[in-house]
Amino acid sequence: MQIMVCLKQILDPELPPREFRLEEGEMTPATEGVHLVMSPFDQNGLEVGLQLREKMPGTTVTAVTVGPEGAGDVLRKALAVKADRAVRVPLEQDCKLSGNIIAGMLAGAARELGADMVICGRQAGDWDGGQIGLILAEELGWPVANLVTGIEPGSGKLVLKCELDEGYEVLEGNTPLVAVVTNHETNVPRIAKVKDTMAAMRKKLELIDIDPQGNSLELASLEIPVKEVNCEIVPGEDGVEKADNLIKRLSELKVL
Amino acid sequence: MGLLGIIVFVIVLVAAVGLFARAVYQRYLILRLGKPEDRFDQIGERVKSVLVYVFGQKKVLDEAYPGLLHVFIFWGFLVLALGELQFFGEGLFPGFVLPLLGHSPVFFLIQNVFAILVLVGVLMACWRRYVVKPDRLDHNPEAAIILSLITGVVLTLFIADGLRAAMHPAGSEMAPVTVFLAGLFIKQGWSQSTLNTLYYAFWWIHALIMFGFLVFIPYSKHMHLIACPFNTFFRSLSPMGKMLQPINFEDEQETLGTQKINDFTWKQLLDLLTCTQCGRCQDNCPAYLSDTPLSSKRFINNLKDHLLECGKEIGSGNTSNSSENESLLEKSLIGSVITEEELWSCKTCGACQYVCPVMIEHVPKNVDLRRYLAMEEASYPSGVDNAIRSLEDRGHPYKGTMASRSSWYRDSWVEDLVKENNKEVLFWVGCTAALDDRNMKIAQAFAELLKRSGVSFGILGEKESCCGDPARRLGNEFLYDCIARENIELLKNYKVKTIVTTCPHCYNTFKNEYPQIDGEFSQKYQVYHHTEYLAQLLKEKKLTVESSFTETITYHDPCYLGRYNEIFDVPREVLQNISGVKPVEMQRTRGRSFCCGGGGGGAWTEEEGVRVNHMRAEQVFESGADVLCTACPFCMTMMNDGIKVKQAGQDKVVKVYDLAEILEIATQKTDI
Repeated sequence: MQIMVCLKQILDPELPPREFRLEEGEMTPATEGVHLVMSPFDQNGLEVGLQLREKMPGTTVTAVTVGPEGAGDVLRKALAVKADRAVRVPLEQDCKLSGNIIAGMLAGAARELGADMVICGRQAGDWDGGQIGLILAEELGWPVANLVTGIEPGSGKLVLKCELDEGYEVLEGNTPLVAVVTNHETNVPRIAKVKDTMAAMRKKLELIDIDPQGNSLELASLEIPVKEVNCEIVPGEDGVEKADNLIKRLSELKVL
Repeated sequence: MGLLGIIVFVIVLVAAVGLFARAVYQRYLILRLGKPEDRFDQIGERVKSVLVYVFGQKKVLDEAYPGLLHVFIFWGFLVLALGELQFFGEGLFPGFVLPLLGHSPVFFLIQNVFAILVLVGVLMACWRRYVVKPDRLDHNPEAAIILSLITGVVLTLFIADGLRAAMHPAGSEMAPVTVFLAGLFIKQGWSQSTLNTLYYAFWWIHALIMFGFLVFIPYSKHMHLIACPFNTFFRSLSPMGKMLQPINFEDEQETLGTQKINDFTWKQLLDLLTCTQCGRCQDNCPAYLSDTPLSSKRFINNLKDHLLECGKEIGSGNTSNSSENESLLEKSLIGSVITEEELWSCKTCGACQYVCPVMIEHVPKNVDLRRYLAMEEASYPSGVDNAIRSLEDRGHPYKGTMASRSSWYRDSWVEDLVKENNKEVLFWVGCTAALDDRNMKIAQAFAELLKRSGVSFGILGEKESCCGDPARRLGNEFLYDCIARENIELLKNYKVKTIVTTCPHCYNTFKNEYPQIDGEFSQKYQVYHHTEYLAQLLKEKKLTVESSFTETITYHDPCYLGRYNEIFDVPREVLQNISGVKPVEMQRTRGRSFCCGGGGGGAWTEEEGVRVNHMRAEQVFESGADVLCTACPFCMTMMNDGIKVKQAGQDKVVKVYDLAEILEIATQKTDI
């Protein structure tokens, strides 16, 4: 079985909100001095793919990303945890393309690679679009399972465990299919072994050119809302002193 | 003694020495299992170490009672060994006199005194071992055998010597025990022949006990009699901060870290053979004292037992079991000899090796084993994996922090320093001071002090990264190596000549560890911990104390500043400069300071049961201090938490400050 796992390089979602900036005069986030990482749900997706490979001999995992050359970093991370192949679909400034176009490009890659299954994270950690998996399945004409936490080989079928608001549903089916993965304690991403990381640095990243096609919604405006917060920390060594100072301050402000 | 007696003696002597030599040779072959390591530099310094620590018993005497009893037995035996030459010579060849010492009344007296001291030492040891029964001592027959042998050696020597003196008291006149016993024997009215028979009977018993002891030495913990002088000679002469050896990742590495016993170096194996199970390491180990599965003593001895098992076949020359032996050598230590839980329990605080009287280096062995887990298995305990991921992804170990490296100085005068990158003095803030709310105040206080002193300095702001210490202590040497090389390259972009940091871990890394990667690092940069830098500013009168700080202060020695870099006095001197400060010491202080629990990755691991920082907080309250002064961001975080928890039910409120914060308060102009 050929599994294709979709990975996206994003701005570190742990970036404190006040550190988020836009490139001057542009509608793209500034990346200077900011770390770029693999989208968290994609990491869970990769882990689900790798776990399934371990249970089904002969399975290969191919990591695919759509993005500029620098996005190759996430592919190296995938190779470091022993993805079999890594493919980049070149694209500059992907954030200006709608999800449907990216999904179309990924579907093209899946066809080109002869994938039997495509795994995506449920939503990217930057814009939280959550469109790719579903549109990709539509493009390929494959069934899609949403909020998958793990995939097990069953008797002649694959068993997909999916998260619901309360509890789980278990789906069965055969490839081809698209699995949209969410995070769970069973798919915590593994840490790469050092020798595998070193080997990954030497591996070649493959390129597949796919033209972006389709109508895109254009980004008309992107700005950081300005919030005015007047915050005053009431001093005090302990709770009693802080409470006294708070009452004093509230009286000064005539709130009390 | 007749010819037959001499022949029997020679046979017994040759047999005993032969068995002893064979056992020692086996141990030597065991050491050769280890990887190479160069410990042959600075010979003069090494000889000095042997004189100071072996003959001078310097570290042994760090603990009065066990130290003194050991000195009695050790020095007693050295003196008795000299006397043995006369004793055996005279027995074998009546009339034999050892030149100079042989019949010297003074030497007999000295021998008598030291023999008594040995007995006193043995009694003290018995009292401690069988009455006091400290937790750190094992209760096995080995110690009883050794103490009995020692007693036997001394008593038979006394009796045989007394019997000899009863026959011809040459030279014994000043030796009180000999004179007393000789008198006692004379009173019995025994004939010369009876005295002579009894003399030879005890002479032989003495000889047999001595030879038995000789043979027993290499098979018991008394191997330290032979191994300790060598282990002391080959001890690390660098500060503890340099104890971890780097890995050259450009070379093809068979195994990263230590998996099997022969992945250790010969010196690390010699450490194992040297251990005498005194338990001082365990007594000072925060992991052991907080009830984690780790005991530093058991760690060394489990490895030692495994090593001796491996060595059994090698040394005997019996190759029939060689395949089994090979499988022992191939056995992974982790999981069989030591558990992962034990390895991750270590705080790398170094208290174990600081107090070890026979110079065993515990921590590098632990980190070498962690290296295998981290790099070959990618196996970390819960919590630590997130720190490692965060280090890889964003250059700091604090996953989930809402702060950035600019949070502590945003909208203040410090902000301008980032833009000016032409300064020679760099304030390296470190991850914890930059990203943790409480520790940001330390960065602010120190920056204020530098400004107040007129020091022109810069900071790297968002360009700063972790120094790599957490990765290194957690065994991910590769990640550390990558981070260190990036930092070394980053610093080349600036005119920096002096690096000063408030974090002892960053300090240790720059001071001792980056020079292992960049040989010129020490020449290019002067590295200071902020306590050293502040002491210098005070000395140069660039900082003056303006107001008093009337508090009872206890100073907590951070492990990586104190034990790792021997900086004990400087912070205390800074505190003494501040009028009003009443210093008090905690019971565990300076070299024996108790870790806060935050080192070696402890800041990210989840402790169960008793927490190290809670224990240290109790020690703070016991000291009677109002203020706990630290000089490390990890200590600040851990102790702040510990004090908060242990504050309940206490009479007084203890505040936790960094040294920079106290000095910042004390150097404020009062005429505002």
